[in-house]
Amino acid sequence: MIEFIQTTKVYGRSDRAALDHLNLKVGDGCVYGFLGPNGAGKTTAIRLLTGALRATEGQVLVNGIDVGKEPVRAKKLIGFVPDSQEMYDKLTGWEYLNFMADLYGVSREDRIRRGKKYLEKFEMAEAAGSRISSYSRGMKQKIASIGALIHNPPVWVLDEPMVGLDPRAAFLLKEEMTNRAKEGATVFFSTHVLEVAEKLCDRVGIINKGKLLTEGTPEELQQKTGDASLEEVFLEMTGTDTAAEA
Amino acid sequence: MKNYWILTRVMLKNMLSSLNPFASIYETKQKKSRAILKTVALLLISLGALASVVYLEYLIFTGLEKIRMKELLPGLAIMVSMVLTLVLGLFQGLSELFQGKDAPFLAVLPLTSRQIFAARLTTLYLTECEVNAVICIPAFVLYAVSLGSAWPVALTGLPVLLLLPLIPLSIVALLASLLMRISAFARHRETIVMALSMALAVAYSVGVTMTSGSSNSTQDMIVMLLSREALMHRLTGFFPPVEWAMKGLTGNWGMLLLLAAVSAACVAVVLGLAGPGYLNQALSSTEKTVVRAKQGKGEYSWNRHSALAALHGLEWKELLRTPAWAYNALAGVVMFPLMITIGMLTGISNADSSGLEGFRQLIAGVDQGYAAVVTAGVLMFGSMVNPAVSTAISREGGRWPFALTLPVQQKTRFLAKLLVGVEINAFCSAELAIVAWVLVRISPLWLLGALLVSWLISLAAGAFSLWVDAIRPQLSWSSEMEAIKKNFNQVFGMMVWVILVALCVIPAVLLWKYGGAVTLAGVGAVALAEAAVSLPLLFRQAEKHAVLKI
Repeated sequence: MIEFIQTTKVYGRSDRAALDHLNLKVGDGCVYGFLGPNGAGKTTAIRLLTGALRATEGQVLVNGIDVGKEPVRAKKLIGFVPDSQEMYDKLTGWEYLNFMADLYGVSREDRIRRGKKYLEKFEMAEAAGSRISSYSRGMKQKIASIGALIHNPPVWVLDEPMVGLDPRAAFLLKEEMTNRAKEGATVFFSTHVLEVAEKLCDRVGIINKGKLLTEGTPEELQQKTGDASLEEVFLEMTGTDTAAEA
Repeated sequence: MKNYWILTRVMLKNMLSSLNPFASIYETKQKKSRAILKTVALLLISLGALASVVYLEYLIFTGLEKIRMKELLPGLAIMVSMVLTLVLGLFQGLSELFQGKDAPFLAVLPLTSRQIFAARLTTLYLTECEVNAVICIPAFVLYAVSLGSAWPVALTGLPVLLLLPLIPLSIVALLASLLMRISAFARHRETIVMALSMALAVAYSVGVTMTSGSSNSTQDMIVMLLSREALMHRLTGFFPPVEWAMKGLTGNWGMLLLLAAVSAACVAVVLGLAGPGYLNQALSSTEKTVVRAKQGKGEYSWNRHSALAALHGLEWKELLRTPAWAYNALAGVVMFPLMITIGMLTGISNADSSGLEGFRQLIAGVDQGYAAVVTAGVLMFGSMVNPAVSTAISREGGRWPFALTLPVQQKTRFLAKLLVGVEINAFCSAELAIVAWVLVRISPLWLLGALLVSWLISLAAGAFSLWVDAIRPQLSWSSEMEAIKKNFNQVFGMMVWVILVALCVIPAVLLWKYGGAVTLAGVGAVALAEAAVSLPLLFRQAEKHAVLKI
């Protein structure tokens, strides 16, 4: 379970909060889509959740553990797939997975079983012996996803996970996200692809200028605004002019 | 030709933009003033470094003047500049020419391979000119002042300065191109290139040592001390362009013309030979590895490690598998003892046996504690420049936000980085200690004492320089070379080392009269205190840097 309680982040001496008193609770077994235009505060929220940033005010809890107070304990519960392609690319795929398993304290048996399972599933078994620097963008995304799953985390956080994936890889990732949620994990991801959010998410939150504008199931949001699709809801919530033109 | 100029201008602008505090108009006022302060600080440090070079050269000059050999100073400066370009330029050449991330982008622009190669070579040439200017200008000025007339030296000095890097740089570029061609189809290309370039650099050093120091007989030494010409020839014999440049500087226009002609020919040859295939070579490494990615097969061991061991292993792998980092982190510290070893071995093989035996007897006759203190001082130099640790956080670059999401204590992460740097130094000083034991026969027990003292200094210097890098990490870099080579934290790390060593000199001076053992113990106690202070300071700071500082 993830909980943002009055979470605020102000960068440096800026007079504007990148994240403004965010209150959000995502339960177990839920796939949660975090939507918003560029610069809305999605990455800030994810960085606060994963412990890369400290909140100026408020708290972020992962399964009841305060990320600000007990970062290492909280981080152990999270599997994180970053949006950038910046990773330890001098390692081979295997070395990367073993490295992640070491940091998360995964037993040898578990790392072999899960490593092999996900490498097969994401069709990366043959490339695992090569250095990550030689991978394509999609392959990097896949190995990062496997690395985030190697410790079977109760919370899976993905920042723009569909970018760079081919349709088959995107399908496999979406399937895994749904499976993880069915097994009781919390899946929290940011995306710009509204169709994905509409089809995949149990709940969706729309954020703009650091504030959570609305939150609920895709159906609830459509009912609230009277719009036909999540895309229209998004456009209406984040920029009226664009919505009117549309 | 026009495209060459356009590309060169853009590359130079890009290179210089990092020094411009007003590069971005979007920066906040606070960031702008911080950038100005940083620039002023860097300027002051650079001036300080330049002043040190001037002072050192002045000391050498006054010494040479006393033995009526003042002409040797510009000669020495020319020789050092050319050797530096030859030995260290190879690493830089490989990184700058063949490991730029912009090769795929440049490949689609309407530019020929030779134009791109020439533009890159020009930026490399200007960087070398900059280094040569720092080394040579003070020497040239001192020489001109001693002549009482600045104009003749200024007239010849400028062309000499501009011509100096061309021949060694052409050799370096040709060798780098050859290395890339040889390794083109190898599976472990980066490792092969790195090993071969290190081997070449060692070969250079051996060549220099053998040609410039091939005779140590007493008779030869007397001849050299009495004859300026003989000594000059001895210094420059290993590489004729050094002699041409020296003679050109002193007014021999024929030699200057010869230097210019050979330099021009070298550049033409390198552009002709390496230019056409350059772009393919620069692009080939990425193409080859992508193909290989689909071929990796086999079983993996999946062994378990502690978090510290995993991070420590990661640091080593990253360092060894990134050529630019490996050259810079390992070249200096590995080559330093290697060159001393080779130099000593070459000297011994040429010296008469009584000379070495006499030196051994001299060492055996003095208090071994004193010998250990002096040895400790020499061993400490191994940790003077240690980019492995002084740029350890900066090298994380864009991965730093991700690294901070991993579930490890920040001090574990810092310790892993520190250990790698200390291990590199430990390896080097151990190697030097073995050389001292084998060749000079210093007592092993005293050597161990010297080693321990040098390791403590290495630990303290490493911890302090890592702390500096944690406070001001340079995470925004576009090439791996930039991450390590153009990182000023290295200089700060070196300054920290100077302070720590200077503090060790105090007990050495105060306790010298009480015997070698007491002096070594005093130096050791200070080194231990420094290490004891540095580690808690680093670990206390570590947690403050466990989140992004934005």
